[in-house]
Amino acid sequence: MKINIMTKITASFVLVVVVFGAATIYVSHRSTEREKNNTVKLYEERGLAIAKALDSSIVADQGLTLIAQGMIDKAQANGIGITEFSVLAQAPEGQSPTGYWTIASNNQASIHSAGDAAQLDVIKSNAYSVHFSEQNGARIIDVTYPLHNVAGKPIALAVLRMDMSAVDKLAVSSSTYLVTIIMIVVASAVAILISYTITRPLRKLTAVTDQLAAGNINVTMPEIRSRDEIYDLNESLKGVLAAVQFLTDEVESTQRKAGAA
Amino acid sequence: MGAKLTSYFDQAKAKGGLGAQIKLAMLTKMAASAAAATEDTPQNIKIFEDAMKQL
Repeated sequence: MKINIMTKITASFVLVVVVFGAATIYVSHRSTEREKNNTVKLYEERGLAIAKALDSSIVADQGLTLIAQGMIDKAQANGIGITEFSVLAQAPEGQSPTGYWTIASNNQASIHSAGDAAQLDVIKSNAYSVHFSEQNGARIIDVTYPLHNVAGKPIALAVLRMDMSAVDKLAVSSSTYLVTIIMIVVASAVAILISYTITRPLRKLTAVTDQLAAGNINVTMPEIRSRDEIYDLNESLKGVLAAVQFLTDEVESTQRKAGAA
Repeated sequence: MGAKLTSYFDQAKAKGGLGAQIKLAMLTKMAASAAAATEDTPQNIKIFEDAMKQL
C-alpha cells in the first residue's frame, strides 16, 4: 500500500501530540487521585485531632457534658465539615436507656439517645475506629474515639461524622481536556501545513522524474526555492539531465554527420 | 544568443574531450543546445567560467 509522505508526516505529528495529550491527562488523573488520598488522610487526621483534644481536656467524670458541649460548639463554629459530633457516656443509674447515651451533641435532638453496639465496642476495646462510608451519594468519615479520665479509664466516647464531599469534587478539570483537544487540533493543523511545505516541492520533482522515467528527456526541471535537501536533489538532477541532453545532442549530431557522409 | 556560452563547450572539448563536455553540462546544468538558446548574460557567463575552472 502506497502512503504518501504528507500523510506520514501528518500522522507522525498527530500521533506524537495524541500520545503527549494522553500522557498529560493520565498524569493529571494520577495527581488528582493522589490529592484525593491526601485529602481523605487530612480528614482522618483532623477528626482524630479533634477527638484527642477533647480526650486531653477531660480530667474527671464530672463536668464532662459541659466540656464536651463546649468542644462540640467550638468545632462546629470552625466549620470544618463536621456534620455530626456527639459524646456518649454511661447513663446514670435508673435512667432509661441504660448503658451509654448521648450527653452532648451538635444535634440537640439526639441528646439522651442510646449508643449503638458498634460504638459500645469501641469503649470496650478502648481503641479508636475510623470508618469510611457513603451517605446519599456523599462520602463520609466516622471517627469514634474513647475518652479517658486522668486515670486512663475510658469513660466516654466521642463520635464525629465529617462530610467529605469536597474529596469527590476533586477531579481532572474540564480545562485540561479542552486544552488537550485544542492542542491536538492546532498540532494537526501545523502538521498538515509543515508536511504540505515539505511535500509540495517533492511533488513538483516527482512529476518531472515520472516523465524522465517514461523516456521523455526534454523536460524542464522545476524551480525549487526551499534551500534544503530537495533543492540539492533538484539541482543534481538538473546536472544529470543536462548531461543526458548533451549526450543525446552529440549522438544525434554524429548520426547526422554520418548520414551526410 | 548563447554564442559565448556555446563556445565554452568547444573549450571543454579541447581541454578534456567528450568527458569534459559532459562534466561542463552537469556543472552548468545546461546542454550545448540549451546554452545556444540562452542569453549570454554576465550571470550565465560566470556560471560557465566557474565550471571551466573545475574541469
